[in-house]
Amino acid sequence: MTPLALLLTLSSALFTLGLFAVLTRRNAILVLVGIELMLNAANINFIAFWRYGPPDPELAGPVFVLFSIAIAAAEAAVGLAIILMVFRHTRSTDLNKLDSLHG
Amino acid sequence: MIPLLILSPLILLAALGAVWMARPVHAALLLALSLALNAVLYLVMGADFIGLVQFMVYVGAVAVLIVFSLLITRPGDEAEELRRRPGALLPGVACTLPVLAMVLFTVSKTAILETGNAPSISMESLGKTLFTSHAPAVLALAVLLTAVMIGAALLARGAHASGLPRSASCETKTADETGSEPPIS
Amino acid sequence: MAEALTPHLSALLWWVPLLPLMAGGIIAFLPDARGRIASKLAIGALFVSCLLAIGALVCVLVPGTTHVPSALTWFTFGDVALKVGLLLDPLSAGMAAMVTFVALWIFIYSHGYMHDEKRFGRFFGFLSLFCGAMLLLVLSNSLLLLFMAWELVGLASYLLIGFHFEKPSAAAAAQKAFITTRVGDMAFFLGMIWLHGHSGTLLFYDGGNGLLESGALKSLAGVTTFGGLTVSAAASLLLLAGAMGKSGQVPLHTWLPDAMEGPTPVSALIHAATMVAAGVFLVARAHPIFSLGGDTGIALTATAWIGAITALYAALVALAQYDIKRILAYSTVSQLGFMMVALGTGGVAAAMFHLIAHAFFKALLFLSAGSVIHGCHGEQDIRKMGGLRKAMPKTFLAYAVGMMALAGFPFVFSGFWSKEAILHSAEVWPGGKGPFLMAAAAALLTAFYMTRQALLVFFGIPREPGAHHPHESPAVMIAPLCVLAAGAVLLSIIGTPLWPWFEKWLHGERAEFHSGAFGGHGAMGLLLLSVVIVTAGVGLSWMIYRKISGDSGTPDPLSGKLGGFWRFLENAMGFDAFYGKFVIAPLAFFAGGIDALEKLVFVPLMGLAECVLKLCGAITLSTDERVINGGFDGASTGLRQRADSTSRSQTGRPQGYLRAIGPGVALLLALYFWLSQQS
Repeated sequence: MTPLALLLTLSSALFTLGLFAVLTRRNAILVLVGIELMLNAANINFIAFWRYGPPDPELAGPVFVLFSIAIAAAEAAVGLAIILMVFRHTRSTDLNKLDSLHG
Repeated sequence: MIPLLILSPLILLAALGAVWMARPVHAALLLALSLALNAVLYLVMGADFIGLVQFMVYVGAVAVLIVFSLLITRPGDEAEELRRRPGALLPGVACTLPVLAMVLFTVSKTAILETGNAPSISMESLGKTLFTSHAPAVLALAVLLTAVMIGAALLARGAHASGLPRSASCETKTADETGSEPPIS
Repeated sequence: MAEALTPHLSALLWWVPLLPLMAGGIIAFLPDARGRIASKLAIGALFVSCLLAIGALVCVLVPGTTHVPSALTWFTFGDVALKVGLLLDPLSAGMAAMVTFVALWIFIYSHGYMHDEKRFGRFFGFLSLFCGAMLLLVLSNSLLLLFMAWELVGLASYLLIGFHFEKPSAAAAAQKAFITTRVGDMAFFLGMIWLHGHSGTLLFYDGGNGLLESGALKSLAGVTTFGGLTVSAAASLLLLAGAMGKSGQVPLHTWLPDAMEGPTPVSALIHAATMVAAGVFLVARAHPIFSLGGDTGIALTATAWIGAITALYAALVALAQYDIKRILAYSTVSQLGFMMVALGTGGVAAAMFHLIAHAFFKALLFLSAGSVIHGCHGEQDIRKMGGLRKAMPKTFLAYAVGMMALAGFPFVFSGFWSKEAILHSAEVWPGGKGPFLMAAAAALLTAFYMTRQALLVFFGIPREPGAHHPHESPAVMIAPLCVLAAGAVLLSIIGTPLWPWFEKWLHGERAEFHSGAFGGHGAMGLLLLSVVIVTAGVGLSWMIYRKISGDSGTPDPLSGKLGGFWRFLENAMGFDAFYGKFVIAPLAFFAGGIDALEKLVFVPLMGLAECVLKLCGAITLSTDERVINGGFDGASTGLRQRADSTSRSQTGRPQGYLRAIGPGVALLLALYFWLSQQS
C-alpha cells in the first residue's frame, strides 16, 4: 500500500461517511456536519496528490484547498444562520418537520 | 508512512463517531476531533500552511459554530437510534457502499506513480501564486466572505429586528429544504 | 274593328282602375283616428277616375271604333303565356263611365250618411277597393283578369256587408253572400279553363286571335263534347252559372236580400247598381260565344228562361215584404232577371240600357231609403212609417222619381223605355212566348209593389213615434239624390226608338232619327201594352193601399185575400229553409264526422307519437347522463384518485428526496463503472 493509495482510501471513506450522515441524520446541524466531512475529504485528496503526485510548480493543490476551506467556512456560517432562523419559526431543527412542500 | 498509518484510522474512527453518535454534542465534538487530526495529517505531509489554516478555520471556527448553534437550539437526542430507522438506514447504506466499493476497487487496480521527494511550500511562492495568477479568485472570495458575513448577521438577527418584510422570513423556511446546497452557486 | 290605342292613351286607361285601388291602399294604412281624410282621398281619386273614364268614353263615341291596348304577359309556364290587358270599346267605356259616375255620387252621400261611424276611414277604404276592382272588371280585355277582379269585387262585398261585424246577422249575411257566389264562381272558373284549353287564349280581342274573334269562335263551335253540347254551349252555361251567382238569379239569389245588412250606401252601390250588374255584363261581353248556338241555342234559351223565372219570382216575393230595403233588394233581383231575359232573347243593347238606367234609379231609391231610415232614426219597417212626404219633401221627390222610373211610368222616365225594349225583344224571340209573358207579369207586379211601398211610407197618417218626428237629411245627402234623379230622367233621351242612339252605338253603327219608329205594327201595340201594364199595376195598388189605417198592427190588406199564399211569399217561397235542410245540414253533419274522426283517430295517433318521442328523449337523456357524463366523471375521478395516491410520494422532506436520488446515482455510477470495466 503506497501512501497515496492509503490517503485515497481514507478520503473516500470519509466522503462516504459524510454522505451517509447527510442522508440519515434527522437534525439539520448534524447534516451540516456531514457536509463538512465531505468537503474535508475532498481537501485530503488534493493535498495527497500534491504531496505524492507529479510536481506542480503552480501549487494548484494547496491553493485550491485554501479556497475550499474558506468557502466551507462561509457556507457553514450561512447555513447555520438559516438553520437558526428556521428554528425560530418552528422551534425545532428536525428536518422531517419541514414538509410544507408536500404533494 | 507510519504517521499516516496511525492517523488515518483515528480520523476514520472519529468521523464514524461523528456520524453515528446519538447525542448531537458528542457528534459535534467528535467532528472537531476528526478535523483536528486532519490538520495534523496535513502538517505531517508537509503542508504546514494548510494544516494551520485547517486548524484555525475548521476547528476554530466551523466546529465552534456548530457547537454554538447546538447550544442555542438544544436539540434532544436523536430520538431513535439509527438502527431503528430502516427507512433512513437502508438508502444510506445502499448509497454509500457501492461508491466506496467502486473507489476502492479503482484505487487497488490503478498503478500509482510514486514520487519520493516531498515538495515544500514557501510562503513566498504561495503568496506570489495566490495574488498574481489567482488574484481575481482571491478578490471574489473577499467579496463573498463580506457578503456572507453581512448576510449571516442579518439572518441571525431575525426578520422583525432587521426590518425585512415578513415574507422574507417565511421564504427562508422553505429555502432550507436543500440543505446540502452550498450558498455560493 | 280593333286598333291599338296609342301608348299614351293606354297608359291613361290603366289609371282608371288604379286610382281607386291606390286610394284604398293608402287608406288601409291610415290609423282610425285620422279617418276623416279617407273620404276626401277616396272621392278625389274617384273623381279623377271619373274624368278619365268620361274621356275614354269620348274617345269611343265615334261608332265603330274599338281600341285594344296592348296586352301584358302576366306569366309564362312552359310555352303557355297568360296575358292580361285592358280593352276600350263602347261596352266597357259605357260601363266605366256609369260606374265611376254613380259611385262618385254615392261616395259623396256616404260622407254624410256614415258621419258618425267610428270606422269611417275603413269604410271608404273598402269602397275604394270595390271601385277599383269593378273598373278593372269592366275594362278588362282578358277573361282571367275579369275573373280576378270578379273575386276582388266579391271580397269587397263580403267586407262591406259585414262592415258592422259585431252584429251576428251582418257577419252571417256576409258569409252567406260569399259562399253562395262562390258556387257560381266555381262554374265560372271551370268554364274559363275549358275555353282556354280549346282556344289557347283568354284575351277577348288580340288582333284576330282573341276569344271573341272569328278564329276562336269557329273552333269552339266546332267541337262537341258530352251530352251533344258544343264546347261553346257548355262553356257558356258554366259562365252563365257564374253570372247567376253574382247577379242573384234563382236559385243562387238567396244572399241578396240578406246583404241588406250592410250600410245603405253599400246596398246602393254594390247590390243595386254595380256589382250585381257584373253578371249581366259578363254575359253581354261573352255574348258572341253564347250566340254561337243560334238565337234559340241552349245557352241563350237557358239565359232567357232563368231570367224570366227570376223576374217573376222576385216580384211576387217583393209583394209580401215590409222591410224597406228588402223590398228594394227583391226588386233588384227581379230587374236583373229582366236583364237576363233581354240577353237571352237577343236584346243585348236593351239589357245594357236597362242596366245603366237601373243603376241610376235603383241607387236613387236606395239612397232615399237611406235618407228615410236616417230620418226615422233607424226604423226600417214600412208598417211603422207613414205620411213622410210632408216631413221629408226632398227625399219624397227623389224617391218618387226613382219609383216611377222603376215601375216604368210612361214616356218621361228611362225605366219605361228600357223595359219596353226588353219586352219587345222578348216578344220577337223565336224560342217561345214564355219569357215574354212572365216578364210582362213581372212588370205589372213591379208597378204594384213599388206603389204599395210609396203609399205605406210617404202617404197616409204617421203610424209610429219615430215617424212622428222625422227630419230631412243634410245637403251632402240630398245633392246626390238630385243628380241621380236627373240622370234617371235624362237617360231616356238616348234610349227611345225615336233616336236609338245607345243601341246603335253599342253595335258600332250610326244612329239616326227614326220618325217612323212607331210605325211597325208590332211596335205600337207593344207600347200600348206597356202603358196598360204600368197603369194597371199602379191603379190596383192605389185601390188597395190608399185606405191604409194609422195603426201599425193591422195586417196587410192583401194578406187577408191571399191567406197561406201570402205567408209563402213572405218566406221567399222557402228557399232559405230548403237550403238549410238539404245543403247546410248535410255539410254540417259531414263536418261533424270529420271532427269526430280527428278526435278518435288523429289525436290518439299524435298522443302515441308524442309518447314515442318522449321515450326517445328519455333514452337520450339517460345515455347522456350515465354513459357520457358518467364516463367522463368516472374517468376524471379515477385520475384524481390515482394522482392522490401517486402524490403521496412527494413528502416535502428533502432527505427523503435525497434518499431516493442517492441510490439512483450510485446505481448509475455502478453501471458506468461496470461498462467501463467491460471495455
